[in-house]
Amino acid sequence: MTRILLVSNAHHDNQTEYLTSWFEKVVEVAKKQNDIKIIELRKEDANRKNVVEMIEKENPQFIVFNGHGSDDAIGGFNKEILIKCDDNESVLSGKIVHSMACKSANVLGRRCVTLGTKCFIGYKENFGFWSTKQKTKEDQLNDPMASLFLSPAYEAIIALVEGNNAGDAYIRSQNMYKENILALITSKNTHHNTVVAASLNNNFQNQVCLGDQATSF
Amino acid sequence: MEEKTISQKEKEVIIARLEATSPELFFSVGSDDKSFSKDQLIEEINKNTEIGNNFVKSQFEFLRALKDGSLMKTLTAQ
Repeated sequence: MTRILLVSNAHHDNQTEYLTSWFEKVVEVAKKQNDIKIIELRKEDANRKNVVEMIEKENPQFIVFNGHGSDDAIGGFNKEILIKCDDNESVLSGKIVHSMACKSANVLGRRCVTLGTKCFIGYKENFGFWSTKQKTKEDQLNDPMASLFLSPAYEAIIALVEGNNAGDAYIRSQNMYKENILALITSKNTHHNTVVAASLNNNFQNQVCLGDQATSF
Repeated sequence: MEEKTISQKEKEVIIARLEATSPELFFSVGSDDKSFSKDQLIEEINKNTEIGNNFVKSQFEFLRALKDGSLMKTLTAQ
């Protein structure tokens, strides 16, 4: 049976462009699995109508949201609200969800799990990252500063794509966060100071895995 | 629970730490479309914006956890 992953890449500012570029890492791993179909909604296509239609039409088991957000909502292109509490969150019922949208695990994630989302991995406070503000996909992927933040964040998605259950995917991600924070604290590289480490620690502390830890994609 | 107010001294500590950060680095956070240079972050802190206040708070959480040993305990736990 084909496993279907739907991704919404808002891709409308430098932050969300980085998230899109780094999704390439997931695509590379997915190709090796041979049984995964990835449906990407990017830029203008990352709108509410398309997201809901694709969920209903393709029935993806795993949905990744790369965009801005808030306590009770996940955004798409130009911050159009895709999923919102007390509105359409039930469309995520039965799915595994990974959301990079700031704070979305706080209220929306919990509500989704209550309404039947199998698992919601995301951040209960702001997700932030330092970078050298590169413009091209290649440079964004090769940005060593952004890598310290985006590698551990994407590790959870990659682990799920590789067949790990949600709990193990979360642990892999958390372990990479720990390794990177320690690397920053002990590094002699002047870019790697504790200001940056503190920001990474914030993501580490606020990442949560809600719902069924044993579920897998 | 009442949220702790950020003192001027706390702001000054974080601003001093930011000043030592490379000008080549930018910080992206929240729903703001822009990425902040260290000078822009310092401006946010001085203006008491949500971005600035949250930045100071998260920096101090880290420093306190580093100081009391809880951070290293967490990071080195298997």
